Amino acid sequence: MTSSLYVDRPGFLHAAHPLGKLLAFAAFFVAVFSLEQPLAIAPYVALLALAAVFAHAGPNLQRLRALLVVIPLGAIVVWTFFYRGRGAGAPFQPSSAGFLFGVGMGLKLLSFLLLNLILLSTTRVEELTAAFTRLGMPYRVGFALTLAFRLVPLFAGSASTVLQAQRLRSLGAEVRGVRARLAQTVPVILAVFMGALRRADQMAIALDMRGFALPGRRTFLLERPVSARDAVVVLVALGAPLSSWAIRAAGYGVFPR
Amino acid sequence: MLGASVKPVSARVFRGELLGMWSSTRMVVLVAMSASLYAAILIPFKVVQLIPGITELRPANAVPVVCSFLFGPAAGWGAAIGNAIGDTFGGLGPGDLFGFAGNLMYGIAPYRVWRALGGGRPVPADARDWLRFFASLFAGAACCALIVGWGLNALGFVPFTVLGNVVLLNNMITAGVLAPLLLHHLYPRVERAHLLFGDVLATRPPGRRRARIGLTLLFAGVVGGLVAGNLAATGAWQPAWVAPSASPTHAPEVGFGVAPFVALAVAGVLLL
Repeated sequence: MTSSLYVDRPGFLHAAHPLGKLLAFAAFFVAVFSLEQPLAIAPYVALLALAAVFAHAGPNLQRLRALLVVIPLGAIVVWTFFYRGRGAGAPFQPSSAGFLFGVGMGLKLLSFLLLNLILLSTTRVEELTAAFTRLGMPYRVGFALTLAFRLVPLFAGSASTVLQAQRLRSLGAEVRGVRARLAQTVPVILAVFMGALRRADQMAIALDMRGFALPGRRTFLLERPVSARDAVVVLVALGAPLSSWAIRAAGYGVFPR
Repeated sequence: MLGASVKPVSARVFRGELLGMWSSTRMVVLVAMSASLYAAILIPFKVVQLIPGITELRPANAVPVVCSFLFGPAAGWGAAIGNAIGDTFGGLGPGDLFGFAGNLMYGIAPYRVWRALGGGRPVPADARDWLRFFASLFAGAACCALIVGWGLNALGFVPFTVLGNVVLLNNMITAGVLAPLLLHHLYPRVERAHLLFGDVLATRPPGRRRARIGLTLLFAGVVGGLVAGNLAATGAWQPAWVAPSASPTHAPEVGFGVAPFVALAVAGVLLL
């Protein structure tokens, strides 16, 4: 198990500055967020899907394929029943207006998932942390965030080892029933937790030995220079909210109230 | 022995226990540890979606509660960061800011409510202890459900009626079953290792008057907010301070109508 979606393949977006990519993320979000009609949102989803392929995010699209289907479907079901705008029926009764609104919402959520995939497939967690720190996030918070990302596969690996050891001791007998499964889960979490605690204690000592608690400005190992490609990323990204504003100004994009 | 040489860092020297804890290296590491434990259990269950794209089956929800009683404020930040890590596998967005705030409260409310209700070892032995324990658990679960449900309906993504109630039940059931079991085994071990937050961070519990005010604000905020959110999201209640809107999601009614209750609940937690 890995906690990172980063795909280590050189590409245009991989080399772009994380701050530019964060700005692009926000710009696309604003563009899609301001629209409601499926036909207005669909071109942004198509563009993001293309960008995801272009950014070598294919393995992550494959990895999260279930979510790519389930997320829009869920939004359609919820809003078919809960839509309260023009054309809605009695409360909790399905309506075609609600279905259409749900399709739009499903496409919105799909575009957020694609944005997320593109950003995290092309940006290391450490780069993101450095970008957030530049934006004002305290260094220690960024450090905790990076460390947490790094520890996830370690703890998941420990849990798997403990589980395998338990299965071996019970000679491969499969546990059945909720209570039995719960009873099996508790010793696994206990073992992982105590192992993690021991590691945390040693890590705190090691960090203090290396001057973590010392005051002063911190620098980062991964610092990317700003280049012409960042200007391209920012310009393309700014086109997204401008185009959505134009769509709304022309009287399209949202459902009549 | 684990953590035997830890000298408590005074949180009062800095800016209160929630922000002051960042000055302790041990607390920073405990934040990362709580976050990664939470995320390590969250991620495999991402495929079991309850409200697709918004929330899923979360057996990991017991982790912030257990960590809250053990590591105090570090558990709050850990829950917030852990939830954000988990969300990277389900689509990050502005709704995650509310997920961050909701999970922060989910991690800090239990130990604060427990402390305000008398404190002691959070391993319930009698009926009074169980009542205090479930009040602490409910405060955290309801505060998280209120903030997440309110925020995502205010953005127009999911109705409060669906999300607020699902998050509350998800939190209460998982943490209600698993947290007492885990604490029964873990608390004595962590206590012996001198890694409880009281051993690492010198904190001062609130006075009786402040605790009473905090608890009143917190419970009035969460109960009032959950009722108001459900009513406003279905159109059954129009807040007097919000002009009627034609929004198909009732976003302004929920956003502005429930905001005072959210503010009460958060003020209550911060006072404790």
